[in-house]
Parts: sequence; structure tokens; C-alpha cells
Amino acid sequence: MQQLQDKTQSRPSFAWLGQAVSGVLLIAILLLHIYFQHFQARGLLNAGEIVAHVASPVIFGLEILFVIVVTYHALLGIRAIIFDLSLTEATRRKVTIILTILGVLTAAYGFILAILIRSQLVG
Amino acid sequence: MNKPIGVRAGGWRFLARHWVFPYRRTGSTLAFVLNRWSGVLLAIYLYVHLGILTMIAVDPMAYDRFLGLARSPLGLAFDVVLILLILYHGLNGLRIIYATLAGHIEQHRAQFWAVVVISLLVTAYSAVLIFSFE
Repeated sequence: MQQLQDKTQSRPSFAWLGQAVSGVLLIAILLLHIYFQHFQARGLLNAGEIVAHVASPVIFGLEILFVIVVTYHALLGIRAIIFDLSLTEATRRKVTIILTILGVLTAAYGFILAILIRSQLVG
Repeated sequence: MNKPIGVRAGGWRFLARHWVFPYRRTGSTLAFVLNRWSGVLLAIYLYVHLGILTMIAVDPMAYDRFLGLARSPLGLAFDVVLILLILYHGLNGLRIIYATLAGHIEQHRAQFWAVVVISLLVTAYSAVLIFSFE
């Protein structure tokens, strides 16, 4: 029984795995983001250059993926911090629901924003 | 006794003791506190970044005017701090994953200081590049 308990306690939780996997993925995406947006351009891009940059389907896809992964990773981290407050089970559920809604809204806003920026090229 | 908002007694005290007053603590507590603070600051930056990018969709001219501030020494210094936060948070995250999955927890102190040194060195190199680009 003790062995079983030890085994259960040493196993990383689903949230921890999600945080770890999204973190590693984020490092890869961030490196590509910094390379394409700042190193290749040698500095900060102006509005017109960003619009032309996002016109590339690869860059556009990368930015969308970036927004989704970074939002997931950030809000999962905020959830872990809030859970440090020794919350009751009911409050934990509420926190999870609120952060999930916030995450979906943030990712959706990022997606819409990327489309609006891309549409500047046509406008 | 449960408080109305559902925080158990001692929750806030835990946060203050472990987060705000990490002095006289071990290296692992310092690593934990720095990881959490850098994470919170980066999460705030995510929303600031989305707000700034909104300018491109709403008023591209306003974004180009904002670039004047971003390209000032203060704006570039902010970028350097941002890089330090990203590097520390990312490398420390990789260290935690390695320590957890490989089980090499006994070397955590050396690994933590390696993360700090690498973060500072790469940030210094990035600062040189950033200030030479602009």
C-alpha cells in the first residue's frame, strides 16, 4: 500500500506534463519567432514590414501556434500559482473554469488579431 | 475554518513566506521564486504584447510612432530584461524537467547556478546585438 502511494505521488500530474510539453514546444517556437521577427530583420519591424511578414503562410501559422501554446502554458502556470493558496476543491474548479475561458478568449483574440493584421496587406 | 472565497487558512501566509520573503532560504527556493516571478511577469507581458500588436490592426501609424519609444535606450533595455526573463524561465524549466524525469535531483544546486550563468551570458550577448541593430 505504501509502495503504491509512493508510486502515485512520484508520478507527474497531467497538468505538470502539459506545462512541461508546452514549455519545450514554446522554446522551439520562440526561437523561430525571434529568428524570423528580429534576427532576420535585424531589429524591430515597423507596421508595414510586420504586415508583409505575416503574409507568409509559414509565419502566419507559426504566430497562431505561438499564441495558442504561450496562452496555454501561461495560464496553466497562473493556475498552479493560485493553487498554492491551499484552495478548497470547489474553488479550484472555479479557478480552472475561469482560466479556461480566459485562455480560449485570449487565443481567439490572438487569432483574430493575426487575421486583421494580415488583411492590412489586402486593404 | 474555510474563508468565504475558498482559501484555506495559511494560504496567503504560504505565498508571502515563499514568494515575497525568500531570504535565508536554500538555492532551490530561490530557483522556485525566480521561476514563479519570471513566469508571472512573462504572462503579464503576453497581454501587453497583444495590446501593442492591436495597434497594427487599428492604427498602423500609431504603432510606427510607438516604435520610436521601443527603439529608445529605455525600450531596448526593456527588451534585454525581457530576454533575461525568457532565458531564465526557459532554461530553469528545462532543468526542472530533466531533474524530474532523469531523477538527478542531487545536482540541482550546480544546475541552478549553471542556468543563472548561461542566462546572464546569453543576455549580455543579446544586449550587444540589440543595441548594435538599432
